[in-house]
Amino acid sequence: MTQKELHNQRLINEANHETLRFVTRRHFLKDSITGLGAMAFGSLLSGCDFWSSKGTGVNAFDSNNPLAAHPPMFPGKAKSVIYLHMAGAPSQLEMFDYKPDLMKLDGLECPQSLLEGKRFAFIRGVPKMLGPQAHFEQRGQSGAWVSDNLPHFATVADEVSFLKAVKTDQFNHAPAQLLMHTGGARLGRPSMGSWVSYGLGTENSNLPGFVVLTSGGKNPDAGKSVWGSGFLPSVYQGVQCRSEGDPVLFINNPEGIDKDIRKASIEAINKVNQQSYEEFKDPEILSRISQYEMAYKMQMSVPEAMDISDEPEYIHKMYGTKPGRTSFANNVLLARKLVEKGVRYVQLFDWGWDSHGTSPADCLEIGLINKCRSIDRPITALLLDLKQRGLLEETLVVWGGEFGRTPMQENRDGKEMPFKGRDHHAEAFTMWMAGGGIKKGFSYGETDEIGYSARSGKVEPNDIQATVLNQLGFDHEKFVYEFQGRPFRLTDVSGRVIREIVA
Amino acid sequence: MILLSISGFFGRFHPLLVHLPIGILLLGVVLHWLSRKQQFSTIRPAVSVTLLLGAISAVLSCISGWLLAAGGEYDATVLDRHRWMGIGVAVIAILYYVLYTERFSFRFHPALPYILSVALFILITFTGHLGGTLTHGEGYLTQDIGEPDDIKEVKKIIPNVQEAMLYNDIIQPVLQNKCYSCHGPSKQKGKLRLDSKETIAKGGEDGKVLVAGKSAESELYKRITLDLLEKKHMPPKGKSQPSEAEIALIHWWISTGASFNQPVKALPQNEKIKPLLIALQSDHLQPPSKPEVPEVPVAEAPAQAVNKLKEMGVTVVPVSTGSNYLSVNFLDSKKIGDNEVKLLEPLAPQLVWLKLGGTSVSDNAMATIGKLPVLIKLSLDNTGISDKGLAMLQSLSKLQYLNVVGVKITAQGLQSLKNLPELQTLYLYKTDINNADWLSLKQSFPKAVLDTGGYALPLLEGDTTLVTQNK
Repeated sequence: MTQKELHNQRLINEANHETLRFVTRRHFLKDSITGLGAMAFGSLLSGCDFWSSKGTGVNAFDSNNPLAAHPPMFPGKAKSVIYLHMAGAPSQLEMFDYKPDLMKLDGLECPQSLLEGKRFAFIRGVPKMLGPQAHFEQRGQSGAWVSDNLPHFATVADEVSFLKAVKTDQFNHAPAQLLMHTGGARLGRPSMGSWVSYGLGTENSNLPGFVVLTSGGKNPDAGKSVWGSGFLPSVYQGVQCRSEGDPVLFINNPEGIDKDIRKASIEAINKVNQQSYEEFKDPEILSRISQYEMAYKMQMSVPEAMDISDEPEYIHKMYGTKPGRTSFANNVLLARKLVEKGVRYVQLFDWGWDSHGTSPADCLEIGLINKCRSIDRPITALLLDLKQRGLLEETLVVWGGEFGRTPMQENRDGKEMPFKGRDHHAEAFTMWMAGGGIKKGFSYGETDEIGYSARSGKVEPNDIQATVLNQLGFDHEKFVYEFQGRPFRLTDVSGRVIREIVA
Repeated sequence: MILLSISGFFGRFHPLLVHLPIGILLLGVVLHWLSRKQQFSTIRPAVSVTLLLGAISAVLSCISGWLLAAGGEYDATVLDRHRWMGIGVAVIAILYYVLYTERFSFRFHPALPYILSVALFILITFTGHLGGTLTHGEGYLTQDIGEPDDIKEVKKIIPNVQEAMLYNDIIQPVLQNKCYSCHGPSKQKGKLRLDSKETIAKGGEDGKVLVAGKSAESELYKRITLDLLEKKHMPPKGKSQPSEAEIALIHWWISTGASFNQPVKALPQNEKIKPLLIALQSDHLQPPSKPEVPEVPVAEAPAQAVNKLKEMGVTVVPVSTGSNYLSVNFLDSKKIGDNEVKLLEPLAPQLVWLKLGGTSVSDNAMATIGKLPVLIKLSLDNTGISDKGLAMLQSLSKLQYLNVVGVKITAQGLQSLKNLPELQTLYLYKTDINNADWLSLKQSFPKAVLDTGGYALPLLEGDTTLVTQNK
């Protein structure tokens, strides 16, 4: 018996022994009852046809290889997605939505008509209007308005389609982020990346299909649920990676354990799991097994994929990256590397866009400008780099926040603020999409003279999700997952593909 | 009045009642024919009962149908044929029953009930089909066989929009594409017909739909601009919706007087409408993209060949569910070389997208690649091929996308592909092409986009500094 087999044997024996140690007569009786219940429940579930692909139009969940590559419903333009989320909600009025008329109202009291029946997160009483705090110019052939806060991005404005009148119905960060990424403002639904990796699997079995990278010092307010798998098997949840230190926590072998022992342990654990799967038939156990296998494979491939130090110097110059740090720029470069290696969905969150005006870091005249500087070069480099590699055609890049910011200056608790800031605003804000079969140099939607609400071309988070799925080759109304007896969709019961921006 | 509305109410049951004679009479015919056989002789008593019930239900259907038809809304010619054929069904059914049961003592040929049964069968089929046409519209039965609705839409390209007639050339096509299927010659839901000047002016059962000069009061405009989720929104959810530009054009048409015979140039044009009008000349702002997958169906690729590739870790996926065309990705693996590429040969009729980027393939493999007749997208980035290999790709007549980023090819080598008819995008970053050659290359590939890459961003002060409070 080799050392490996011996080790396996020992682990299994120990596991069995541990289990048996806790079994008493009471357990037997209890188990008998729950066992009966489980059988009844199981037969109920089998009636629900849990794992069947009936009506979903996508391949069935294959528990042995849940991340195998699947075809979409129709040939999609995009093969992968890079979603750049500016957590905290960037101010559209200082970046893309130019409102000269708002300047004329600067410092005047907000008319009652805009306040009646509305609720704001922090504004109380009657706030004052606040003109644009940036200089705007029309850029490129498309004439899109981009402010001086984004001088690099202004040069590639002809590559993107702007959505100028996005509206959400949540004015707090966490629910608004959930709505943007899971299709619903409450917890428990799978995120867009999970849906995509469920639908398409991954072309690279050594890397996760859905990777999450965060920067800005904090995770998004909604926590890990924004990349959770909800009711989809948990193998589809986003894998959070770091651009500093170990890319995935605990992926390295513990001290004193070599690669073979680690492999043997994982095999043994999987064997135990396989046994309990055969006993209970809970598909989550299979997810577990494939996650262990994935973790082992990732030990080999992730450090390589996540290492940006092997990129040539001119690429670092282009993105403004410095290897070994956690920064948005590093994450953006990583995103390109991952997409190149076949990762389906890379989700970036950059925290620190919540420009209320309470401190230098979160005001429009200092903090926002610095945040803009931190993303301007990397996102521009990303678009150009994807383009020159022939990848922009098949990579959909989405940029946006969870909501926008008010045309009024924030007056927290009715008091004047030390810095210029704006409150959360759900009525209208700007997002953009590029690549992946989206029109170039196009702008859709319009807000009123002061950027308060959508006037035409209004789109909502579900419409954005429908469009992302459409570009990947899915009809958002037919891409469903049976759960608790009803087929669920990413876009729940609404959503419209924004055909206007599809090339 | 009450009498009228009760009769109308009864009429509404027609769509329910009609299914009874269809089912029962057809059952009666089947039972009648079966009962000829000795082994089914026991069902004989059931035949007359079934036929009687069928005849009664046919009469009831006729009555309810007549009342429903009185409400209008249907195409007159189809309705007329349906009406009289329906009555024919009822009459033949009664006759059939009477002859079958031999209630009368006059003599007739014993084959007569059988002839009647065949006639009844045919008549029911046609009457039912006409009924379906009335409710669901022309072509409902065959719409899944033919092309989907969207493709059928007519698109007129207008050479000079100012000379065009606003209604005939711009508005009418929109109405035809989005409204006629329910408010046109074959169907008039809500008694509204939008396919001529007279019928538009007449309006529907709720009154006029068009108030010239006042789009806000025109039901036609109000309905298309309601929220999609509202019940009164037109076209109903699920049907093809007019675009924003089309809605804006309808708004302009109504507010300028809803004229049916004026050219565009005679009407006042504001800044908003001008770009929309210009856009009509080119039909679309962006050129229509070519299909990424051939439209002709293909047989399935041999499973054995596919599995062989899959076992090596190569991704082989159909381009979409139900399609046999394949996308193959060799995934950046140095282990993949020319021998592995040979495995693609059996997939030649199906292979449309191929990624070989970062693999160890050489010029030899290009002989195999050159024999892939339907290949549309090909990535050879960061491989060791040369001009010699590139020349072997001349046979790829369907190729639209070629990625040779980081490949040692020259402008001369690339010239060998200049006759590829479909080539749209060429990615040439980090190749050995000299700057001096770009112009001649652009001339050789007039229809394609050549991306040379090498983009650099200038270093701005803001890239390295932060704004501070005391700036």
